[in-house]
Amino acid sequence: MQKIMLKNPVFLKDISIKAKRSRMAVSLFVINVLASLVAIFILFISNAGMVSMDPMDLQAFTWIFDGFIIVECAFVCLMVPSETGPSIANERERQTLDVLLTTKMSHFDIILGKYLSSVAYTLLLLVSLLPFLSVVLIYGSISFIQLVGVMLAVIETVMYLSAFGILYSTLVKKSSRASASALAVVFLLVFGTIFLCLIIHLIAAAANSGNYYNGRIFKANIFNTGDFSFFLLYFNPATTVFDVLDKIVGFDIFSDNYHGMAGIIAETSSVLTPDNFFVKHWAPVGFVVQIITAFYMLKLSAAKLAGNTRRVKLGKKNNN
Amino acid sequence: MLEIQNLTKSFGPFKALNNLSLSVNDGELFGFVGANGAGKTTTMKICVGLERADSGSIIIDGTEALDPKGRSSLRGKVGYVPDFFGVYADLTASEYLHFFAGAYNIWGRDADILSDNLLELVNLSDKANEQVDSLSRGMKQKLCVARALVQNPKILFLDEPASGLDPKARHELKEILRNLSSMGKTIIISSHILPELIEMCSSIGIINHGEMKFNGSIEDALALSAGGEFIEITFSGDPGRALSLIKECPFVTGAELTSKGIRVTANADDAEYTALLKKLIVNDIPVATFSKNHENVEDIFLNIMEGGSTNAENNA
Repeated sequence: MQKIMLKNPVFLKDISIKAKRSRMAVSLFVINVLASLVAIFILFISNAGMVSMDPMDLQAFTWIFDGFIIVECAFVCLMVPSETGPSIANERERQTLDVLLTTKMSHFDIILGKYLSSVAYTLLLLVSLLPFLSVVLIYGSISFIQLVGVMLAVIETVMYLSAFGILYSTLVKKSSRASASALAVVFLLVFGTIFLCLIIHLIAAAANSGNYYNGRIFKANIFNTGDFSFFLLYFNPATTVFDVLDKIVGFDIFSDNYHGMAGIIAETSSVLTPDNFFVKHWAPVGFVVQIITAFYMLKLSAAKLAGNTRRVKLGKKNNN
Repeated sequence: MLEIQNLTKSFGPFKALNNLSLSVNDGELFGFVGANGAGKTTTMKICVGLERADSGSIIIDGTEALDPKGRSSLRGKVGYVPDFFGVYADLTASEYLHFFAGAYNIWGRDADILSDNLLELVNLSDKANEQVDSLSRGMKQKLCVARALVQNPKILFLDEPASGLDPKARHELKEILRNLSSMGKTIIISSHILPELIEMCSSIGIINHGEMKFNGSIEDALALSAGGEFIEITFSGDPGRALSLIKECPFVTGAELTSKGIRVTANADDAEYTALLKKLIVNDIPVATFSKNHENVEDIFLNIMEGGSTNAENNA
């Protein structure tokens, strides 16, 4: 990976340009100020507990950590489209794309350079937040390994969503529209897949009106194909982050026996069991699905970039 | 070096290139002339692989450029300067060239040397560490030419490189291109201003509405203006019956009033012109000047564009 990055001129150029711009410094400053305020708030709460000599509620710290990660993921959902959307579109607007396409770099290398620089930039902002996340480590409510596990899930989410941003950057000519389209796709992935899953369940339940009218729309015993729409949620990065977060740190809100997506599925599905391999290992399977999808999106972006220059009828005589 | 045969390209119902054929010899500085929208940029974009053709053939240095494999192998042999600057404002001139050196897999010390040499070639050595944004238009264009030379191409396509440059920058650019031509590079340079190209090119191609109207040497193009000789007569007073007197002469093929006086076209020798002048004076016409002129290059360009006798047609 290091070799790919250090030998990719587009990556090096983009990182160099980003480092020169004030936007990076301003972004780091704003994000860290906001995170500082949250950290100060956490410290204030914990100190208040110590002053009153009440026993410290470590569970509360895990909730704060969970909240911090959710905010960070929301930040990723907003940050990634604004970062990746303009990447290729900007080259097009600046009229440098044509020149780039005439070089010896393959289209996939160009796309990869853009993708890696966008991912690296977003990750830099996230890494700068690590010290604030680590505040909860002081009180021992989560371990360093837990922190690393959750951060890996967030990093994977950045990599997954960035690939969609890059694709829309190649599909849409204007950078602002590309960002808006990428943002819309992120929302579709996060909320749209859940909505679609619900709709499929409702349709499945409606097919069995008896089940529909008794109110247990998710427990359609006769027509259960709707349950398989749960697998659509593999494409939803929120489910994989939730699965990791609930299993590693814990929300403990859905099921006493099962954590993560298995807990939700135990509550809502009659066909899929929490012990099903794909349910039990939701996060790892989800990561594989999302990384393969991201790779395919990048390949698609490269193909789109090459689209205008491929099909040629060689040597055909035109008699017009 | 470059052989284009029956190149055709349409954008929807609009036919941008219609059976366009042209050839450019090795080491030639070729001027590609045409009005805006004539098809120059489309031709160049197809040659460098940025646009696809509907049909035809482009052979560059013995390789079929429309074949994906051929195009890939030509990437190191072809340089392209588009009709816009295409520079990254946040990079320095040196960083800009280093970036493109990396795009051709040239790294480290090799890239440093290459960048220094190219900046020296285009007289920008003193601007190496300046932001591209701070360079003048002419300097940016020279930097673009330097960028197109990173891979040491055999053939260079320059799309309207002098457009928008001041006279000094134009002159400097011409000098750079002459220098490159003397280094044996084949250069195809497009413009819609023929006089600009005639000064430095060894051959030209004139394109109109996607069709090649002329492809040949500058001398051949100027020879087409042989029939463009005319007499311009101005008067110090009322020319009176001058126009009818001129038209009476059997060797006069055309005469028309202009803002300056009368423009006469004729198939005549000097003795017959003398006879015409005598006739006007004998008839008390107040002739002020009587001069033999040739059409200028712009007129030649327009004549060829409007469908006059063309070398391209003769060659077909």
